[in-house]
Amino acid sequence: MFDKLDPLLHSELRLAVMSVLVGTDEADFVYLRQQTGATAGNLSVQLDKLAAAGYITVEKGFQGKKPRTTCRATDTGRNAFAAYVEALRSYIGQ
Amino acid sequence: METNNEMTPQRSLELINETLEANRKAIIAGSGKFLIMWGCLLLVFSLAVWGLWHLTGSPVWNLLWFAMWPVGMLVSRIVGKGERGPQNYVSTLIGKVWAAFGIFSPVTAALAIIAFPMNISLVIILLFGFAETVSGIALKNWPIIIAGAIVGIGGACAAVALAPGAEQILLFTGAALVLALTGVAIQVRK
Repeated sequence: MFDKLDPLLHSELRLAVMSVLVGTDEADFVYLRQQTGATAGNLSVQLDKLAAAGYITVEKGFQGKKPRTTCRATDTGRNAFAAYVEALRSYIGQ
Repeated sequence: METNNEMTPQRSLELINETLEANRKAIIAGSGKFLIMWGCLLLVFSLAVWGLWHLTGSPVWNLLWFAMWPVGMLVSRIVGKGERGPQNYVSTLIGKVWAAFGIFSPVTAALAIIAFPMNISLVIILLFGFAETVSGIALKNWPIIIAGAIVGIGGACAAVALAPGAEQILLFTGAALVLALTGVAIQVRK
């Protein structure tokens, strides 16, 4: 029997964002854009979805005079990511 | 990148692997910039101390070394323009290893000057090479591991072989070149 894939993570951009965030303590919006190649608008929408699910936290602040948006994966997000990878393995292993 | 829900499990795993690898490379590239900056700074300070000591004959110019850490902090703020790259446990560990080096070196040097005379060049060059090798191990990067070993072990031997005096400072000029070139090599490989 296949494990169910988390629909929130089974999306190219959201999965890429979570892959970046589980490998870092934190990453800012600019870096996430660079790593995913997404447009600012699309990335912003997907970050909101991940934050609403409690998978990430989004903190808006300033670095010097520049605004800076910092994202971090939460424990819930890390657990969901690990479960998603396990589910993928169960598909591929069959 | 689209929000595509039609990914196959294989594509999902590929995407995860590609992203993690790109992330790792970005963090290594950030470390390369850090090595270049500190290498250049060490080069400037070592040449300044050596030149002034050589010209005046006074080792008092070694006190300039104590200014290197605050100057480095200032330069890294200017070079980085306040931007922080991605941080993970590896980059945090490397930062702490170099912070430990930044504490051990001046404290040992101060103790050597005040109370416990020792071959301070040997101690600092060994610590320097050790910190670089540990950084290389954390980054799983062979050029940094090897460069650290050359600087640390080779530098310690050279510190004993060289007569005490201004020429000992040139060891740090050599270490600075290795450090900066290692950073350049990382940036080029990126």
